[in-house]
Amino acid sequence: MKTLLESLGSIARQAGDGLVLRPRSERELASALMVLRDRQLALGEGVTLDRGGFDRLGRLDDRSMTIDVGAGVPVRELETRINLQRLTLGALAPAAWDATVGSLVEDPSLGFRVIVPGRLEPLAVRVTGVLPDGAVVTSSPGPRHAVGPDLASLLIGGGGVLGLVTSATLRLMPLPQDEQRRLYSFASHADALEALRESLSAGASFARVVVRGRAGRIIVEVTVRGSAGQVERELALIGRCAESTSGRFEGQGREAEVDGAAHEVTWSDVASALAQGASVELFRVSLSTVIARGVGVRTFVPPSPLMRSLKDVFDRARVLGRLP
Amino acid sequence: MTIAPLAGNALPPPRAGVLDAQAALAAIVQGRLSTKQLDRVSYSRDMWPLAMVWLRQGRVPPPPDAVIWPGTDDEVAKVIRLARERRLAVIPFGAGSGVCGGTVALHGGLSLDLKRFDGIGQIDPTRRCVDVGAGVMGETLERRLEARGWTLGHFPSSIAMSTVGGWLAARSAGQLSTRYGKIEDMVLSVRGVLGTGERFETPERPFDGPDLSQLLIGSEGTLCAFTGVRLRVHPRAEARVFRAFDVPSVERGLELIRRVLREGLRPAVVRLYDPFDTVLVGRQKPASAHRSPSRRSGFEATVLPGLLKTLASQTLGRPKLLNPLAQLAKKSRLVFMFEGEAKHADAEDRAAAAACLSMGGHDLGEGPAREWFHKRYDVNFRLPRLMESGTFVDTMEVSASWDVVQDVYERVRAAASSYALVLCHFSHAYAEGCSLYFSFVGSAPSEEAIEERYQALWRSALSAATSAGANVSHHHGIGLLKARAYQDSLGEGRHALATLKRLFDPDGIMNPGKLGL
Ligand SMILES: Cc1cc2nc3c(=O)[nH]c(=O)nc-3n(C[C@H](O)[C@H](O)[C@H](O)COP(=O)(O)OP(=O)(O)OC[C@H]3O[C@@H](n4cnc5c(N)ncnc54)[C@H](O)[C@@H]3O)c2cc1C
Repeated sequence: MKTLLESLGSIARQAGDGLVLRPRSERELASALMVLRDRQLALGEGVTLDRGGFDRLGRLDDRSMTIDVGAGVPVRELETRINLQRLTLGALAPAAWDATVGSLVEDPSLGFRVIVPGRLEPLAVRVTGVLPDGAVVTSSPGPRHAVGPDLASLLIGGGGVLGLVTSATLRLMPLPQDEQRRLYSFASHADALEALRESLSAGASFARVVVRGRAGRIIVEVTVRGSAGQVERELALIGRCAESTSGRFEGQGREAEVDGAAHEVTWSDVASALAQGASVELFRVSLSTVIARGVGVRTFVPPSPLMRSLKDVFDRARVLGRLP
Repeated sequence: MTIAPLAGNALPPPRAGVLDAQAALAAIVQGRLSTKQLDRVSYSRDMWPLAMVWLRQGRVPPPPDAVIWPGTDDEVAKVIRLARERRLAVIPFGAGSGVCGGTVALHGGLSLDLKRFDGIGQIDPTRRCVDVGAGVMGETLERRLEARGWTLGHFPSSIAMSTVGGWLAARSAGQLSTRYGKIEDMVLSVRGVLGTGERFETPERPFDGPDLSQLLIGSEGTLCAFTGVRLRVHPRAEARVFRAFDVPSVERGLELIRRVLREGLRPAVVRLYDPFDTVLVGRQKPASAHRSPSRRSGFEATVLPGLLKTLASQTLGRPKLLNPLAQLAKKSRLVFMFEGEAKHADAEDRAAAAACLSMGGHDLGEGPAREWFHKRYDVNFRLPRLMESGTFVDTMEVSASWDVVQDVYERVRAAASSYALVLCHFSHAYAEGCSLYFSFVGSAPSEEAIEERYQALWRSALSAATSAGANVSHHHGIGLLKARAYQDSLGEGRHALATLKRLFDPDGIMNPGKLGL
């Protein structure tokens, strides 16, 4: 019988006690998964997947503001390249810049962007990936569709537990021409958060927000980016929303920061942290959740029964690892 | 798939399996079950134009054996479990406004009407959401939200005749989708019963894995029956600002929309009509001018339909002669509506207007855009009249990225114009593309030839669209009509879909035949 290394061929190399797989195509990845399954092995358990072989920087479609890109491309490198074409991935949460395209798209919180009015949409408009049974899935084209259940959801935001992304068509936006900061103070943190949500609903978007308490007032610093006209319109809108909830304009602001790791939380988590006197820094600010620094980590929620049964049918052999 | 509509007045009796289970089923829902002919015929179809042609020809699409009206999640679960035991098909039914044959009972069974799930919960103003029953009619929901100062922002043309559950099942889009998104963009979590008979409720963000709602939304009754949903709501718009333009060509109009969105502007409505559609859009009668058949005069009720029928087959039956007339019309109409906070909506309107003027748009002021808004649901009244005149009328909506939209438009027009009169408008715009909404009006020398022409039209138009880079549907869904094209488009994704089906509906009882499952 062939050794594991022989079965995997040129895809695999030994690294210390474990193996590293570096497939270059969907077919190679699919056959590697088959080998692991047959030998009852799993990714993450002595076998690491390196998606560096999916390194294609494909077509940049300037009209549709999208780019086709391989899962192994580092996000920071991608951003540098697309900036040359005056496009950007937008205002992502800090950890997104250290990810690769594959891990970004698979991340349940980082792989999404905010669009007006405060809605979340996946950064990937289209995705290709490999399922544990070796099937190569490419999602439907078009910005939105009505073609059955969204199979892309097995991959997008899936954390790599039901399938692995190999390439994606990512949504881009114009490189901002302008960035402005504004400081407002509010009578309470409830007012401050309501003003932010009201602004989102009304059509504003924030690159970043910092909220902290000072001398009995809650201070909110907002950063807005976009074209010159957009920044002007949105700042005016935010100003009016702030005024309607006890907000007072306090000047231009100066890039305050909060330390610590950022993770996705609800608005009520943010409210609780503020009530305990914390300062918070918010990214990817949407009406449903935000990515925040300064807010305690949520308690562990076990995967839902629905998720467990999906894992059972799509990855019975647990080739992609176990659920927590 | 070939479907055999039934001829004649009498339906075959309900299948033995349903009759055997009738008493047990009725007991679950406190007697709310019917096997009456009238109910079975009424639930045998949706608004699929081909089914309407069959009805005109005196044929009935395959009917369900019974209609059942559960009122609680527990009742739905029990009905589905019993149906599973007895291998009876279950066809979730909203309001039957679907246009792809999604509710046709191919294998008989139970039509599961969910309209008793009609609760609308309290609005949570902090979280900006509301819990809604799957059976709530669209218009009722929007009226109730508006009365409390909120909106869902979902306004399909069929708002008065569709349910929230139907919207979820078919991934519906409303006229204000450019701002508020499609229905799937508004969902926080969904609730219902799987084909296994198990109840489920999907988690809300933050997720630790994929968004499970999205794996069920769009399943058109083939995986589950939705019973409720938590939806995002927004404060009702303080102001609406309207403006229309004439633009020299479709291409220029598309470029304008693209630029407006690229500039970060988010109109609630943006619609571009191709030159042929532009000619017609200005000539609509208001809804009040449409009279129901029972109120028509003798001439209108008897003589006129015959005349129209002859006229239709002479004109619409020869689309190759009609479609070239489109070349005579040049201008395209572009309609914008911004809504929200008054000053912001004004500022967005001014910015969009500046962009349009700089690119050769001719400002028509607010009149034509307001008029469109006023008549935005009139399509509901025009359809039946056209169908009565011996034609078929259908719409095909697909979406594509900006780089291929123009090509999709031209190729579908070319492919479809041998079979029907072709009009198109572009709506539901996104930063990376938009939806193309084709209207087809056709006829044939005889009723017998109509179905053949209809099928040939769809094959040709859909294949032109997908080969030019569009998807199979943007918001009407798949049903029976597009099942083959849909399955073809999936590639190896077909296995993933089949796996979902095996998991959620292991006995294949949920809406069999739809989505090609
Ligand atoms: C004149 C006209 C205009 C239209 N305009 C639009 C438009 O602007 N935008 C748009 O998106 N659509 C439009 N439609 C299409 C139609 O209204 C939508 O597809 C709508 O979502 C269907 O809702 P319904 O409640 O009538 O569902 P039905 O027609 O009853 O069912 C549609 C499908 O969903 C399934 N289903 C229904 N309820 C449930 C449930 N609770 N759980 C699981 N499955 C369920 C059914 O089995 C079926 O497969 C239009 C239709 C007409 C006739």
